[in-house]
Amino acid sequence: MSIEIDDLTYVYHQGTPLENKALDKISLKINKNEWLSIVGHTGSGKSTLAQHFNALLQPQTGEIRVDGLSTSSKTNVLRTIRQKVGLVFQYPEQQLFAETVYDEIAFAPLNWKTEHDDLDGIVTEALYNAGLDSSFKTRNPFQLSGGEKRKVAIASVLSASPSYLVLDEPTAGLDSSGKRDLLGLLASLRDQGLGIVLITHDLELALTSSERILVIEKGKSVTFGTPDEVLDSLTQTRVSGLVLPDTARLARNLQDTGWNVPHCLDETELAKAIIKVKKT
Amino acid sequence: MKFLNHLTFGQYLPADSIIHRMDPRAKILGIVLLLTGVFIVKSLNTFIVWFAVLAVITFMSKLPFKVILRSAKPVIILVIFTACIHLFLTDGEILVKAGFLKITDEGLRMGIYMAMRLLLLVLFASLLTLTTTPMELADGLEKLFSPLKVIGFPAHELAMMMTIALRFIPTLLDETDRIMKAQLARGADLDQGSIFKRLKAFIPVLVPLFVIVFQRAEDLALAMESRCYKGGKGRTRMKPLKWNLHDSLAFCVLIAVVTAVVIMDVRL
Amino acid sequence: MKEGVVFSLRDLSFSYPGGTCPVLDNITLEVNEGEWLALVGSNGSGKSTLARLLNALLVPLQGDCFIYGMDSKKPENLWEIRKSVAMVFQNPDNQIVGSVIEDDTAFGPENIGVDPSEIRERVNWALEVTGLSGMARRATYALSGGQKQRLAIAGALAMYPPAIILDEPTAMLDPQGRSEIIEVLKGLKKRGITIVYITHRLEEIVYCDRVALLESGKIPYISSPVDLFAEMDKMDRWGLELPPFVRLWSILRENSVLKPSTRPVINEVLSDLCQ
Repeated sequence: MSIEIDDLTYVYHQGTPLENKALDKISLKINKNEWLSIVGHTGSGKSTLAQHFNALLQPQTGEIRVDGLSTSSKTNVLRTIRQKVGLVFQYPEQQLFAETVYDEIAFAPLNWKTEHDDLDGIVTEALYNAGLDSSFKTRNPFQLSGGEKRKVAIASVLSASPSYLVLDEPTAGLDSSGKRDLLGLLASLRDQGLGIVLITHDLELALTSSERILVIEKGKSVTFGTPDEVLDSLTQTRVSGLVLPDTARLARNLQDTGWNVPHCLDETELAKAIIKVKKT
Repeated sequence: MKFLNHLTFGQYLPADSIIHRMDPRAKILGIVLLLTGVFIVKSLNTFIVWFAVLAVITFMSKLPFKVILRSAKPVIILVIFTACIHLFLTDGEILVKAGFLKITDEGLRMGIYMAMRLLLLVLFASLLTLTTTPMELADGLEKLFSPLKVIGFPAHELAMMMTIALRFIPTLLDETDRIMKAQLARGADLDQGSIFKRLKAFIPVLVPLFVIVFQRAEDLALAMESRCYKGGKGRTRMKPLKWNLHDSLAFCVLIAVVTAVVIMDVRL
Repeated sequence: MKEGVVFSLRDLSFSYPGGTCPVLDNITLEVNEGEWLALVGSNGSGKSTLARLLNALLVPLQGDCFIYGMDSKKPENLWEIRKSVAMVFQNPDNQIVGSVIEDDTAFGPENIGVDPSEIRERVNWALEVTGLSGMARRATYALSGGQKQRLAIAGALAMYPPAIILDEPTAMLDPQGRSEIIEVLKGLKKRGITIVYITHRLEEIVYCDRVALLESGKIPYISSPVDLFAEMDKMDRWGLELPPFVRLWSILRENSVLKPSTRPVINEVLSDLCQ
């Protein structure tokens, strides 16, 4: 059970002077229980890619299969796909519209199926998985804090019981504790069996949170692998708009001048190595 | 990614032409004059003359004809709809009959006239917005209406509202698109069912949009206040409007043309 | 009023109408001319409220707020204060009024009745300082987040303000946008403009002269950035997070591998290590 993308190509405004190839032969695979991050600069095509996962956009060439179902299929198949792949847009709190948190979260499950045995249970579970307790059910979503609103928005996507969760810049605008909170949430969702796809321009975020990373530039895949592999690859190739974390940059610069320090993200490890070199 | 939509309807396209360089007031008054002419003529042949006038002005604006014609696309449906209403619902001498539908000679004439008028209206208006920046338009309107300030007409405020509204149209279109997609991703059905059902389905799009718009208004007001905005009094302009000789000439030529066409029409 | 003091807050308290507890509680703070002061604190600590008091968008409930010697509570001072202290907000889109870059930049000077020819001069200068010179006739809609914020700064600078306040200008930007803003601010500092910079990202305050910490409406701590970074154990309590690179720098300093004058900036650390 996985999402497979084969040679996905997508061109905006094809045949007009504004033609723009947003995605160029992208291929990847995400399994459940896995956390993949897709990293790219604004304009790299990552938001376009996000919308392909749940068939909001369909590939012009190539194919995307969600648990074996192609996103280029007919409408009723697309509904099944949209239910399986939850998509959380950037600043998801902007999609809130209901009078109560309960109604907001019940929206998705009611859309997919009008009859539910235990809608209340579904809502409670979604709230819990998003890090909120059931006391939020009766509250007005517009009177919550920014962080709470975001969690409600995420719960409103989780309530459809998706198998995969795609998030476009989920930590945008959050301070450090909000960020940590959210990443912890995603990790526990992954542990519960969801396949997580995190789309971001923050390389450091991707390197510290995911199991595998795909880096894209101008719609093309630049590098793919574990955080260590990607870090290695990026210290050699420059990718436009992507800045290596300062610790990694320092390590690279020191290595360039002949120092014996490891390529790493962990600042304590790097500090130890630097101290060692300096003291000898 | 949606700028193709804005490319024709209402969007400014720069070029080095006499029309672009004209004072916006001359252009606005000119359009009003032309449209008055369009709506008061009665003969079919005169409409052909109006299209010729449109073609000449388009040529002088150095904009491709394709662009001007494309601006009519959004209203094509409205034009056909209006034409049909007049076509089928006007009384007169019956030409064709099919069941309860009838086309009369008067209906045919009214249908064609209304279609022509609407088309010319849209095309001339597009010529105006394609050759005049939103700022120039707002300035022009403000200056034209400022004599009315003595009776309390909020000329400056309306012009400022217009500038800001035009500035945010593309942004709002993008946000609408994003919210629609977010709700589609949650299973909303936005294009099926009766009119009533579809309207109800749009609530999850409209409410968030309203929230965004109101927040924006609050933020923008604060930002404008911080930049010392206090209404129109004492405001200067970086590019003040200057009515030149060639604006007067152009306007006189236009008056002459419109008068001539109207007289010709009366004679027909 | 002391010479060279731009902002002088004395026992200032503020709460919003209908609010029960004060958002700002007995604040006393002075900001000097040419200084780059950072205001940090977790969400809800009162940073934005404090910013709005500094250019008289809000007035104190208790205590005083003097801006260039002018009492912000006096309505007659309002426009003079706003001319002297420009403000840039968090949402790049919701500050831009014009459809074209140069038109938006001209908005401020137009409001204060500057002569048309001089407006053009100011706009050109403001666009140059913010790196937008070649784009004067571009549409504002299609700009990146970083470019929009730079435009907001340009619009503020065109008023020729001696002081500027920025309320979390990088919160909604990507890493590239953030570094563009910091570069512009470094340029402003060189020109002697007083800067009050609000952020929750500690990596952005390394070039500041002083940093004031806001916690539950009070300022319990104010020091140089370097001294703040040394308080590693208090970070959690203050709702702040030390960036990994700053932690690295801190460890190296503790072990005497770096000179005390070296700031947690990659170039400085690198040249210090390679000496």
